[in-house]
Amino acid sequence: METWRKRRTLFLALLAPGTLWLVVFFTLPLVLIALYSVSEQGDAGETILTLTFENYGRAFDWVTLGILWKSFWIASAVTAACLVMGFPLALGIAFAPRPWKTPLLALVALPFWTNLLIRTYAWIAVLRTKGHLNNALEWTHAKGQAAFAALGWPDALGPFVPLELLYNDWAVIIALVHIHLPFMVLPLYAVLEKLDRAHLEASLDLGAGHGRTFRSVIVPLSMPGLATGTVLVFILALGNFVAADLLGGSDSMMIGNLIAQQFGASSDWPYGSALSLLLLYATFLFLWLRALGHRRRGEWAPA
Amino acid sequence: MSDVIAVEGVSKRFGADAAVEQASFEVTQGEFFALLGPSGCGKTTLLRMLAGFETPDAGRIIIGGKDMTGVPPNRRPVNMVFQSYALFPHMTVAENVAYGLRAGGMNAKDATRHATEALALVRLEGMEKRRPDMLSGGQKQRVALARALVKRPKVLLLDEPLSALDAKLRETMRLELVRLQESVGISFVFVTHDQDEALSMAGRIAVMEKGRIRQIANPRGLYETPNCRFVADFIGKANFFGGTVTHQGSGIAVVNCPDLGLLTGRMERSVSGAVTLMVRPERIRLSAAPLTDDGTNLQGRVTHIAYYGDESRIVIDLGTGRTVTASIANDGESGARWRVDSEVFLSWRPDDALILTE
Ligand SMILES: Nc1ncnc2c1ncn2[C@@H]1O[C@H](COP(=O)(O)OP(=O)(O)OP(=O)(O)O)[C@@H](O)[C@H]1O
Ligand SMILES: [Mg+2]
Repeated sequence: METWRKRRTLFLALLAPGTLWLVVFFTLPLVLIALYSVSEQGDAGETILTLTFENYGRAFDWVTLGILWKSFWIASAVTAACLVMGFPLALGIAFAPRPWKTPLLALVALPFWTNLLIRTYAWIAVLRTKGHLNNALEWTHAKGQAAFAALGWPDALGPFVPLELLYNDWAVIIALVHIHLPFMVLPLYAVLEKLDRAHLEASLDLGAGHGRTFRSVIVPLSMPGLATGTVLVFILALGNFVAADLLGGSDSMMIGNLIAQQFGASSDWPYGSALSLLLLYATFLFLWLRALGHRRRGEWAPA
Repeated sequence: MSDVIAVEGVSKRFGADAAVEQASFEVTQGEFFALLGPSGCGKTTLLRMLAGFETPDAGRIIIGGKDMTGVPPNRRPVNMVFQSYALFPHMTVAENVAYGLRAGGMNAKDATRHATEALALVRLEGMEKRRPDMLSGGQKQRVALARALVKRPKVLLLDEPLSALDAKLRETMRLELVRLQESVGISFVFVTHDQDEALSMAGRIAVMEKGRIRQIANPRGLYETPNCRFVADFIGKANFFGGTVTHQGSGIAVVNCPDLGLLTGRMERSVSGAVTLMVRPERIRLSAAPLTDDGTNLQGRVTHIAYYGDESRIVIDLGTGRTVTASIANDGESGARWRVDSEVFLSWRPDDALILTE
């Protein structure tokens, strides 16, 4: 750092592009949004800055609160599912033989190479009434039917009824888990990979089985990655509106959809801005709670 | 049987390289046993096989009379002090020490009491609530010791436990470890590449070279009667002279060294053919005039004097391109007698040299 202080000009020159980028594309829009959120729409649809808090007030009606609540529970379910599936995956990759690690990691990151929209659309092909999943079920059903018929028990299973898998919350959750799993696996892998194997051996050596070693040593020591993955997935899932749009039912609107609607179909920018900022505050609250929890866990600061 | 550990012909290879080959030894109840050898000779691998972290490719390990083949680390009656200590960073000192007891099913109250006692044993009273990152290297080392000892293992395995400490602390910890071992009466298997450490602490030492155990003996035995050139060279300093045996009798052999003539040395068993004669630097007597007794007498010129405080090492050129190192005590009289380029006579008694066959 000393040398940076001496070469002020160089330091500032290097800092400038990033700063400029953030100011133009992040700070300014945020200020605009903040201004919009305290504005009103005139009769001709023009925006008038009136410094009103009415837009925020509108967010606290039952319908919006319901959408917010639903968004939180869907994001929570997605985070939980990513955690349950991502932890063993990250653990498996971190402990895989060295030559396997890079290919396995590449597989985890592979979905990033496909457009988000396409990944979401793909689930329609899988889940719809005549989709791949139902086709597979129908095939199994037919085979079963034939097997029972051969045993002299025709039509034992009844007619095949396709499952209604699409256009509900579960479809949204499945797609969101698929999209966000890498965001859980990668930070977890990063900490598990660096985990000192001697700690695990010490635990075994002291008589702890694999279960206790996992609970008492692996999980606490991977807290930094666990927290990062959880926050990333939760925030990303909370803000996502494509999945709910394409795969959700008529009641599957999430907060992201509501905001998108204000900037699109409803063209109520002030209300949309207020909702955006509320979501931002909620996210900050979440991060702040996480930081608090971190501090309480003790002086041990994960590097 | 009072052997707590019996290692029988244990081998381990990694890929094509043998890390440990045909190792066999016993450790008796209450013994301080050291595994000594240069870096990469397989000490850690051998210790990890005792702990159960590596599986031998051949041979058996018996601990407390039970064959340990297939027994996982958490079911073995041994505990390990890791070189890096491997203290759990997210637990306090007391929690670290109590961990093994809790894992063994002890209730929290008793575990805490035992942990406190164990910490007192390593003189860390009052540190219970600290986290490992708030401890000095020496304190971490003691916590690691307490954490392993509190389990009352049949054998405590220590992998270079002092190597992370500074020189002064290492000396203190040596004495402390020996005292601790005597007070708890648990057998220690102690890995080190530091011969001073092994010689000053262990009751018996196994010297390893390239995966093989070359000799097992007590410190005096290793230094005074090494069984091969490798051990003689690894433990302390030594001068070697190759030659062939010409006469032998009553424990003494005469060796004909091509460029120096006849040299005499003591032999452990009857020898013949090509041998190596070994003389420790401090057993070589230097004099200004030839000594007339039954020993070996040679002549040379001082080429170099290295001053070590308590002693000086004097390098002498024997005129045949061969140099010999002698050491003399700096006791105020002999210390200043020799200068570079002085002509000097050197000699040793037959008992002060040893004939090696390997
Ligand atoms: N997991 C492993 N995979 C492959 N080779 C290994 C492994 N562990 C050890 N080796 C090799 O086995 C040999 C013995 O290693 P070991 O760690 O037992 O040596 P050491 O005597 O403890 O050395 P040091 O004093 O440096 O710790 C070395 O050649 C090492 O490279
Ligand atoms: Mg080692």
